[in-house]
Amino acid sequence: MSIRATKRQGRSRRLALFTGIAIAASVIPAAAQASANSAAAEKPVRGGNITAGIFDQVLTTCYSPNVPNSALGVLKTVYEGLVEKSSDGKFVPFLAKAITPSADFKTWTLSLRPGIKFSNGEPLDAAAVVLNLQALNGDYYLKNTATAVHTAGSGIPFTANLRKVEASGADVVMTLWTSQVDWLDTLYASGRFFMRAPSTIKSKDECATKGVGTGPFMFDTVTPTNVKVKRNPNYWRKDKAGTQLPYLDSITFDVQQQPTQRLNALRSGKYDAAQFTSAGEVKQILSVKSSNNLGSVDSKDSFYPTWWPNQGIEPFNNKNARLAFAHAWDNASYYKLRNCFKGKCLGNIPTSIVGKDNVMYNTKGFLKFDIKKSKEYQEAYKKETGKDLTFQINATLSDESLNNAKAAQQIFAKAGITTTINQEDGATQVANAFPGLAAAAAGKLNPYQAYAVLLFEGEGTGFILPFLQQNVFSEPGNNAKTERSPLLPIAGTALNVTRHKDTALTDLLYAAKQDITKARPAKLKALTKYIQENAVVVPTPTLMYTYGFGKKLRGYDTFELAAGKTGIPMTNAGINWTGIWVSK
Amino acid sequence: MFLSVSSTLGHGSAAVLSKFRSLDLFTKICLTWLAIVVLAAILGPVLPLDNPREADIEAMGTGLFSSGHIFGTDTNGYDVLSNIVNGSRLSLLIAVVSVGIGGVVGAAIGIISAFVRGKFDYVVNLFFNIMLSIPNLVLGLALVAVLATSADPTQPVSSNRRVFVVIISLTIVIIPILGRIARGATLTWINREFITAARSMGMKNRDIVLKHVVPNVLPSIYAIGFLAIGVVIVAEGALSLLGVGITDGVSWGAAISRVSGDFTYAPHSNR
Amino acid sequence: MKARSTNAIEVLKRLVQLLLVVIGATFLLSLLLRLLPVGLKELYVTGLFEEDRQRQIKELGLDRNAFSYYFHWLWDFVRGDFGRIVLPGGGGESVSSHVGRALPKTLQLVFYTQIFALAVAIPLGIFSAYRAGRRTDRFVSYGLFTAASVPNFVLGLLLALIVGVKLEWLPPLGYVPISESFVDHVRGMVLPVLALGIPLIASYTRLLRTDVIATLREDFVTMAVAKGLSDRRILFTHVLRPSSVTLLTSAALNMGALIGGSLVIERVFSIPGLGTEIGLAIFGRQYFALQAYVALVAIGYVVFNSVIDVLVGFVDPRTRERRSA
Repeated sequence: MSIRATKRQGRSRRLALFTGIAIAASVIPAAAQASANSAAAEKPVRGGNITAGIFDQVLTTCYSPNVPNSALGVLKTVYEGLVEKSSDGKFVPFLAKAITPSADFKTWTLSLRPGIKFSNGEPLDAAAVVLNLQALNGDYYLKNTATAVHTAGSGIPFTANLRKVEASGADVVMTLWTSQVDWLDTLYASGRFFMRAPSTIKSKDECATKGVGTGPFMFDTVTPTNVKVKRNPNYWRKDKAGTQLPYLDSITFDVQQQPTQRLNALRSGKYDAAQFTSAGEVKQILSVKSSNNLGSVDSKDSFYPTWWPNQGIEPFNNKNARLAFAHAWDNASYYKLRNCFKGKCLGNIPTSIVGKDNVMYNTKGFLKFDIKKSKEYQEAYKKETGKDLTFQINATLSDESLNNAKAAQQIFAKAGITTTINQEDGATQVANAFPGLAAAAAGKLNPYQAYAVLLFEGEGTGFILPFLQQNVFSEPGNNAKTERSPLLPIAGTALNVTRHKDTALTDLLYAAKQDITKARPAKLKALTKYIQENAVVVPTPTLMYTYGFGKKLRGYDTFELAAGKTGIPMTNAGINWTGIWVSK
Repeated sequence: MFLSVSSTLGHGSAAVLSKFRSLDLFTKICLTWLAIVVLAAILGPVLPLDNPREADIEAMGTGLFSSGHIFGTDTNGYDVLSNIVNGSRLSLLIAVVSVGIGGVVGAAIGIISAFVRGKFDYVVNLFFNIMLSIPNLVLGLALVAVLATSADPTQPVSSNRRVFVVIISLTIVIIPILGRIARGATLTWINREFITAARSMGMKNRDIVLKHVVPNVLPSIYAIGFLAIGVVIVAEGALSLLGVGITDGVSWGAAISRVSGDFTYAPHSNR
Repeated sequence: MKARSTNAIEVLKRLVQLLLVVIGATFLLSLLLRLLPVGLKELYVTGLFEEDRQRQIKELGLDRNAFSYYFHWLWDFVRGDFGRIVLPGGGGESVSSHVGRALPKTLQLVFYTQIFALAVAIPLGIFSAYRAGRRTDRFVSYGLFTAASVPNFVLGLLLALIVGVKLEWLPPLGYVPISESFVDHVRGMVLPVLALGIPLIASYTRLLRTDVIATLREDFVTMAVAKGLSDRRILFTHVLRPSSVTLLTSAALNMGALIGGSLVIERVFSIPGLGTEIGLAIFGRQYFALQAYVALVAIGYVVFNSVIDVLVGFVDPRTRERRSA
């Protein structure tokens, strides 16, 4: 799930990890290959040491801390998931060979590709997968509370539906509490759940600094601002020509938070590649795209940042306040101020809480910018409470974030709403807004009146619905309370950023989530309409991520998965580096 | 130079004017500039300028003399002239108050300590060293973090408190710097012949300090003190750059840090 | 014999002062951290179960009061245990391994900067004092004031863009260790040293100019002029030495400020030095690490100042006489 405090809490933070697995599947190890820009005759060659500029520090190679976007990209050179998402939005088995559901979508059976090993030699077998999934959903922690606190992360609420996971011969069987047709989406978790070597899961020190995965690269040196990964000589994939992957010998990821400097280094050739985010780096992205000397690849339009008015505290516990807020929010002006520069723009102006490619997309009930209506609702709010509508906006410590907050402040001021800005470091904000399990159990819930943050992403619901659930463990049919730990049901509110207690919303949500018929999309759209009408969340212009490349790099515009399937070349976590090579 | 200027202030405007004419060109330019800045600080709110806090949606990163924006706008759409004029108020306030208080307090402690010597000097020197040994940006950040953050995140810190805290933090950083300079300079003067002579003639300590030590130490204080005004204005910018500056305020430091990376896009707004 | 024992006492005094400064600085910081609005327990302790949390609190020493906690920290620090980077649930690297990686880079940066700033400021300061009040002096002074009022991060970014990207003379960022390539090491250091050093030159030149002007009024200078020595000879052999006391003191005092300044410059130029680590510690809320870093900077600061104080004794005998008096 992502919690990029955007709008901008800037680039920011993704809560955590988890993963996916995909339905049924094709078998052949895939090949990453190049590429439109490499023209006709050029063939991939092995070798090359390159440097890439990123904007998030790599604080750990372990579990529970939330890994921010571009740091996640570093981890993904070393770790791989059971499932990948293909460019048409479907899930494709990756480390898994096949994953098949039972007729009621409550039991999922996973078989593995034979012979895959972690780079330290441990096998990726059923036992390893079970351990990984148990570390993810908290079972491993609950069994080893004294030694496994480092595995207790935000995966626990995210995989609340996973009742049991066990090995069955060479296969792995996952049993869910309630039917879920898009279980793979939940496990994919926007590319956040990896398979890690069992020995590193068990040791908190190894986990933090010497992570071991199955991926094309292995950690060489890891410091928060500079990470070098080197080729994994025993990587399990070959390209179509039979050449062992990956092509590159090593990649050095250098953290450079100043976007201009990242661009300077890319333009001067000091960096071979560099990632940018439209959350504050619009000008730099436009520079990269307009340069003849640089190549680039963009993420899809599937990152939907939103405002999260807090229903647990004043003023947004009042519906009129939320409606006044939604009608005051001028997306078009904000877009012009923060997503555009000199007539060129990135991202899109929203017409629903999610983008057009998402199954939940629905323009019905979407509250449009309308100052007159906003003022009427402000009046109504004042009549009910005797107070003027005023609230606090958050900004992180970066300039871009503060500029974003100021633009928002200006927009609300136009509608007669006074706001104040709270500037605080992003990690603290995420920690406050998304309390850990213990903090949530102690009743410390999101304290911010209106938090603007990127949580929704993708075409499915796996990375959307959990944030709208009042309590992920109180779903009808889920009885984690008695079976696992009595504390979980309280901690289950950790993802409920809006702190709503809206039973109508909850009913709509579960009806759609548990549906296994063709009626599901319609039910999801009805949910979207309800959310929009009631200003549960208020969408803002969408975000985009871009990787820029020096002239010599090839292979970045495709990411081949298995025969006939291609992956998504660019996401918030950057590109997949397996098929990247350097042209001589 | 500064002493001579201030000594003329009492003599009526004609005297000031004739004194001004007698100064050389560089000094004239500087004094004129200073006068403009001070005037801008005072008159900012009544001048017919754009709202410095409001970005122009239709004109971002425009050049000099574009319509409606004489100095153009920065890459975020804020009017540059309006931010310069209105920012001068807060920047001058922060710089003058923190360097003023820091300078007076620091110099007084430094001079007295060097003059008294003994245990008092040891303690003062130790205190200065402790403060100086913590990198000043770290000290500033820590002070701002402790003093300007509220325990309850729903309670915003008022922007006045933030200004106050930034000034206090910068003052605390300035005191030992100027204090050490004053102490060092006093030590070099205190053994000079004319002071020994004054002592042997039975001059009171207070008079020795005021008549002989202070006038000789002041030039060193000036040399750093006036430089410090610029440094403090910039330091406020560094605090802004690191995200602990004045969020709601309009200041030069905030304006600089806001556009510090934007040379390529709207170079003129980088002042 | 007697001289030796006073020397020993002098050294002992220095050591005591060093200790007091380091203790004072770290204790002050430790108190500040205790006063932070967000408690350390909330930052570092995770887990669903109370006994779990209590164990972590104990491990981190957060169950102790401010004094007891501080002295435990100090004892560990003295024994070379700088603590660990704290991750939720545990498992961070040791701070000393971070120090080992970062410290040499920052020391290089700071030394190069000092050498560069002094090498430019000394001739410039003498020259402008020699021409005091003239147009060239004014020109130098105002030029330096202007340079000093450009924030170092702006200067750094401007240099990176012009020299690094437009002219392509030097890399716009990045650090290369000497062991890898000396030439690349130097090429990578030029821009950060300029960005850190140029504002420094202004203050050094001003200080030296003031003192040289004062020294030029002394009798021995008049004597030297009367003897017919050349201006250059007088300036560099007779005047510079006694005039450089404030400059040297100020250069030593700047060590702390420079490491603070390198917090920003190292971030801009991607140098993984102590400044970057301090920044990480502040913004990543690694307060145990921060305390170790500040202690190290404080030690460095005191050592440099002691060395400079001894040097000053050689440079200006009057100070030495006064000390022994």
